[in-house]
Amino acid sequence: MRWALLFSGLLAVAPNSLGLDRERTAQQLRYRLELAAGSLPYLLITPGSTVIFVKGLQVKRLPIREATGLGHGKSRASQVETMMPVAPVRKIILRADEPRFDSTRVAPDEAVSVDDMPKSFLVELRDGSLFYVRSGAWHGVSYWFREKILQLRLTWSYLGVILTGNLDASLIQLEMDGSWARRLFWTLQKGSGVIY
Amino acid sequence: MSTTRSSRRLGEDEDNACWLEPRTEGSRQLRDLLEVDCLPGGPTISEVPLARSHGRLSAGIAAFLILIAAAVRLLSVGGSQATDRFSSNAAALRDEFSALELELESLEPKGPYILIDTAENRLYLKQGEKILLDAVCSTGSGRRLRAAGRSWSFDTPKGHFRILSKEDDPIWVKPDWAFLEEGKPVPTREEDRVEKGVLGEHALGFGDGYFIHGTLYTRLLGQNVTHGCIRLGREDLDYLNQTVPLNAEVYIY
Repeated sequence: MRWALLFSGLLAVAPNSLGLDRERTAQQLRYRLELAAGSLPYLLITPGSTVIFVKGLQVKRLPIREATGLGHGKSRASQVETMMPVAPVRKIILRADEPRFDSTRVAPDEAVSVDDMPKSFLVELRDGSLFYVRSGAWHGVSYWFREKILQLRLTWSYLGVILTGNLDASLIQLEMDGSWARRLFWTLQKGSGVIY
Repeated sequence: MSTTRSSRRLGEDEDNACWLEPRTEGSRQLRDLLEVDCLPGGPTISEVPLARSHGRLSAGIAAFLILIAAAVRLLSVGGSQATDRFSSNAAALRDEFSALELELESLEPKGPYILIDTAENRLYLKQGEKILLDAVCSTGSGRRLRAAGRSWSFDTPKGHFRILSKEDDPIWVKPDWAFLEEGKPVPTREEDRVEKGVLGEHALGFGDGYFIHGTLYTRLLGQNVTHGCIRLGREDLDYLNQTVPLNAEVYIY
C-alpha cells in the first residue's frame, strides 16, 4: 500500500502542474492589482466561489455550487460588456405628471431591490468569453422556457464568437444558489472587471 | 549442499516451486544468493511462504514503478536542466508573489473605513478586520424619473469613494428632481429649495452630491428607498460621524 501511495504521489504531483497553479495564482494577483487601479467593484471567479473586490479589498464572497469551463491554464481578466437576464428586470419609471410619493417618503414597492434580480443570466465579456449563471432549481414552466431561450442565445453567441476566430473565448457555467445568483447580478455592471 | 537439496526439492514438487527455477549457471548463482536468507535447517527457497515471495515480488515491482515514475517526472520537465529552470522559475514566482501581495496589502485602508452592502442595506464601519459598527441603512431605490425632457436614476453608486465633507445639522438644498418628482414646478429662487431637518443631524459627503445622512423615516431603514444617498438611524449616524475622519475610504458594492 505504501508503495502504491508513493507511486501515485509521484505521478500526481507533477512539477509542471504545480508551476501552472503558481503561475495562475500570480497572474490573478497581477490582475487584482491592475483592476484595483479603477474604482468599480470587480470579481474573481474560482471553482468554489465568486469573490467581490473593491480597490483591492475583498468585500464579499458568493458561494458557487458548481463551476464548469473554468480553465486550469493561465488566468484571464476582462470586463463585463452586456448582461442578459432570464427575464427582464423590474424597472420603475416615474413621470412628473403622475406623482404618488413625495421625495423623502418612497414606498418599498416603488423600489427595485436584490429580490427583483434574476436567478439565471448570461454575461458577455469584452474578450468574447461568456458566463452563464443558473440556480438549477425549478421555478415553473415559464421560467424553464425562458431559461431554454437564454441557453439557445448562449450557444448562438458562443458560436458567433468562435466563428469570428476568437478561439480563446471561454464558455463558463456557474451554478449558484438563487439568492447568491441574484446578488452577483446586483453587483455586476457594464465595465466591471472579471478575473477567471 | 542446500543447493542440491533445493534443486532436488524444486524438481520434486513442481507445483510449489518458486518462480526462480534453476536452469542455468547464472540462475543457480542467483538462487544461491537468495538462499543466504534462509536459516540453516530452516525452509529452503521453495519453502519460503508464498506471501513472503509475493512481498518480494511486490517490492520489486514497486521499485521498478518508482524508477519509471521518477524517469517520467524528470522527462516531463526535460531533464535536469529543466528541473533547475523550474526551481529558478518557482523562486522567481515566489518573489513576485510576495511583491504582489505586499502591493495589494498597501492598498488596504489604514484607518477606519466604511463598507456599504447595497444588496443587504447594511453599513459596516471597520478598522482592519475589526467591525466597529454594523448598522442597517437604506440605499438607492433604482427608480428612474423622466420629466421636463430629462431623466434621473436613483441608484447608489458602487465603487470606491472617500469622505470629502462632514456637516452638522445639514440643510437640504432640493435639486430639480425633488420638485419634478412631486409634480411641482422647479423654483427659480434658491431659498425656495432649502429644507431643514430632513437629513438628520449629520451628513458625510462622498462626492457627486451623495451623502451618508440621517432620516425622519426610520421605519424604511433596511430597504432600497433613497435617491442614491445612504440613510442611517440617529445613533449609528452619531457614532459614524464621531469615528470617521475626513478622507476615510468608502467601499460600496
